[in-house]
Amino acid sequence: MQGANAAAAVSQAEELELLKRKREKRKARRANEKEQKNGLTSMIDIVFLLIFFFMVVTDLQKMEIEEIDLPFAVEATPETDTPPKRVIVNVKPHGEVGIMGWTFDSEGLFEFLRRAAADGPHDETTGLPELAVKIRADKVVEYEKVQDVMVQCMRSRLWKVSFGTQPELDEKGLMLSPEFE
Amino acid sequence: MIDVTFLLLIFFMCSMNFKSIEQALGAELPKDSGQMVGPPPPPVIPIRVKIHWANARGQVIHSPQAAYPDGFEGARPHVGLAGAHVAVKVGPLRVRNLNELARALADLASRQNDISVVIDARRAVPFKWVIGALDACARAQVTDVKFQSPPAPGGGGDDWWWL
Repeated sequence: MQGANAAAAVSQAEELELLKRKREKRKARRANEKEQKNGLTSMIDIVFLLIFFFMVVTDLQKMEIEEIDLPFAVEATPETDTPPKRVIVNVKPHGEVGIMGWTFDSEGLFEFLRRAAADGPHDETTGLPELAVKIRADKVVEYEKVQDVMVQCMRSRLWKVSFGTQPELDEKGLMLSPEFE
Repeated sequence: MIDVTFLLLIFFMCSMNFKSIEQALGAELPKDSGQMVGPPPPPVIPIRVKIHWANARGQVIHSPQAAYPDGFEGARPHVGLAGAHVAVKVGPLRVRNLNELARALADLASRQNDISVVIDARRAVPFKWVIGALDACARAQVTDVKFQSPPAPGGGGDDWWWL
């Protein structure tokens, strides 16, 4: 009897041991799950951060480069080395002149360009400002408006002027502009 | 949720890349070069590229909407607006389009060593014609290109050279 009792006691003890182990395993699993959840939250945080960053960057780019239907040119070259600091002047189809999302009249444009030219570097020998200007004018805008932008550039002694264009041929190699016919 | 965020992320990344590569046509304005040393170089008579609106009879008009600009005064003969189109001239020679302009300029450049071109576009001409003319100069390998300045405020100048 005693032996049997002892055996039963042993089996009980074993059972208890087994239960303990199971509990421990469960605990460990729970802890593991918690860790996984923690990792997921930080990842979502990072992803949202990235999304926010891209949204802001795209907005900023839009501010500088407004949507304009540029004129065609055959000889234009893709811009590879753009100067680090330059002013992009957008001339919209109805003649509004904009820089970085602000709209200027011709005196305001002159004032802006004059200050930008004075703040930027100057050539040592000639003393002329080094600041580059890119005029992005819509192809249907009246020339008068673009001429005025050029005149304001001249008045503020800015001479590095370029015009924004788009390739003359589309992806299929078809001529896009009727004035070249 | 993660799916959605990744979708958004990929969408924004793609939309950034879709922006087509823009091109540029350099046009350096004349520098104020200061005092000249030595004998002056022989003057080069510039070739004028005139761009203006014209009617079906070839008469010069201000724009398809008006024969004369706002506030234009003076007795002028009646000019019709029918068949308004943009006309391009190289000196006295009329060219039909920008390819012909490029050919005419290349022809002139081959006969003379260094030619100078002045692009004289009227106020109401669409900007694409001016860029087209500048492009034609580049195609004809003419490097000395200038733009006619607008007439002085208060009228005068050569704003109405065709009349």
